[in-house]
Amino acid sequence: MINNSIIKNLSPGRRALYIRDLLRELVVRDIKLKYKRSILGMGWSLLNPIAELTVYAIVFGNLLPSPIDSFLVFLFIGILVWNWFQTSVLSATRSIVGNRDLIKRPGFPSPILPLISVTSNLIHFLIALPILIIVLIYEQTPMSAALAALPLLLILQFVFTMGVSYVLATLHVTFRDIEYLLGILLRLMLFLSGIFYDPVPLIEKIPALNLNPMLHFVQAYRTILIDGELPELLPFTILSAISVGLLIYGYSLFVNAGHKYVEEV
Amino acid sequence: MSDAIIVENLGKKFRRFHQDRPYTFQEAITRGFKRMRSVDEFWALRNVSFSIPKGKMLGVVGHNGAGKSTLLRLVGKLGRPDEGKIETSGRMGALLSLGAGFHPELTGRENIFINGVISGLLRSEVKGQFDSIVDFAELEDFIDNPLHTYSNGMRMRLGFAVAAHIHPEILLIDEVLAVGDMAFQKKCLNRIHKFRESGCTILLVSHQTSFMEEYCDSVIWLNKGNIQDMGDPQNVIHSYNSMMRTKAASYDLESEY
Repeated sequence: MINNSIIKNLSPGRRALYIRDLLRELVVRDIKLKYKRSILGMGWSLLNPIAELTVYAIVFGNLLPSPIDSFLVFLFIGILVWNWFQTSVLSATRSIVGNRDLIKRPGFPSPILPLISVTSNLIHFLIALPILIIVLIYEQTPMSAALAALPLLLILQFVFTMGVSYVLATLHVTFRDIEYLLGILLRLMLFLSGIFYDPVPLIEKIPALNLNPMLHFVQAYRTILIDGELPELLPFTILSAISVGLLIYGYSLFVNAGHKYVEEV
Repeated sequence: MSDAIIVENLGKKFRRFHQDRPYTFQEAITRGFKRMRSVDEFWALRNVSFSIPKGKMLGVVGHNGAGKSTLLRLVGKLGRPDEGKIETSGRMGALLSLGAGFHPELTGRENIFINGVISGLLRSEVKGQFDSIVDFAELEDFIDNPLHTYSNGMRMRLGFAVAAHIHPEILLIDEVLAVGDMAFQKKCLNRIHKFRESGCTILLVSHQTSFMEEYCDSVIWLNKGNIQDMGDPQNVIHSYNSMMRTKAASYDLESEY
């Protein structure tokens, strides 16, 4: 909320410190709770993607062999990038309704809730990155200077995911269907994002598939990590513009609905 | 002395919705979007004006549904007034929904940090006051146990203990004085009194009229969203209590028939 009493009356310095501490505490809470009472704990953040990769490697290595070179890397990048997006969006969508007690506290900065979802899932993503590096080395993919662009791509995906999250979290307060609808839409989007196959020939046949931003994100990661090149400038610029625009739109939608969801949830 | 809270001509409208107001698309489509609209409106608060000078304590009384909590929430900037305006100056703290963010799977220690930061403290400030918080809650022996092993009373004590360690300039209190046993209640009341002595402006909603009579500088009696009476605590509470007694007596009569 804009009129945030706790936040508003703080000096800019304290405000930044406060937001940092709040983000830290709530992200840590999220991560602790996720693996509470499990024996392996954080180890699951490593094991999950490995298990998933194994399943897909069996399916697309033996059952439905893929023609793509270094398919393991190709696939793993897709899975990791997609999982970060999907888990973030799913948990951010529920974050307002799921945190009633926080929303109803005077001065609680509710825009931080979707940010917490995306950040804690980013951490799971980062935990799994070393496995990707191992797979890259195993497949003898050459490392190049293009890797320097990777953080920028991460930030951009973060911005895009935040934008989507704000829009969905706002809608979810009024229409709880979003949650179920989202599951189906994400499944569809998963298969249209070229996670398991090379999307280039398909796009030539159906140009409309270009409209899916996640497809471009996944491809950009592959260009950097597998081809060792920088993503093409024009699509990358468009992607950046869409991501930033969506975040601005989503955030303002979320903030403007603020007084409403305080009363509705 | 300047005012810490100024409420001018405040009005808040609530809408009553269809009992079967759609919450899903399917419902919205099958029952028609018409039902999304409210059927009827009523004023939860109307024409409410008052101000609290810095360092003073104002109590609000009224029977259930009189608009007390709505008033408190609006002052806390939760929700938008439909009429009038509210001005506040100073860092605000609230003893509402104690223990927000508490999670049963986490330990008392972890919950203190989370709840403290949610209440507006920096992590370092929670750390600095940690021992004092645990001491206040009288939970030294249980602090590293998960919260689901706590009794209700223990949980509320922990919540109040954290809230007692924020240092707000304005404090909103909603009926949290009924925490724990008699001894702990006394401790809470003392703490609230201490807040006041340190110059904190307090807006308090409670049914504990004796406490208000003793400590509040003035009292508002809300009735159906309007101010019925306002001013000296003794007078207002006296007339409020006698009205309540009459009402209670009428129930007694009814039940005899």
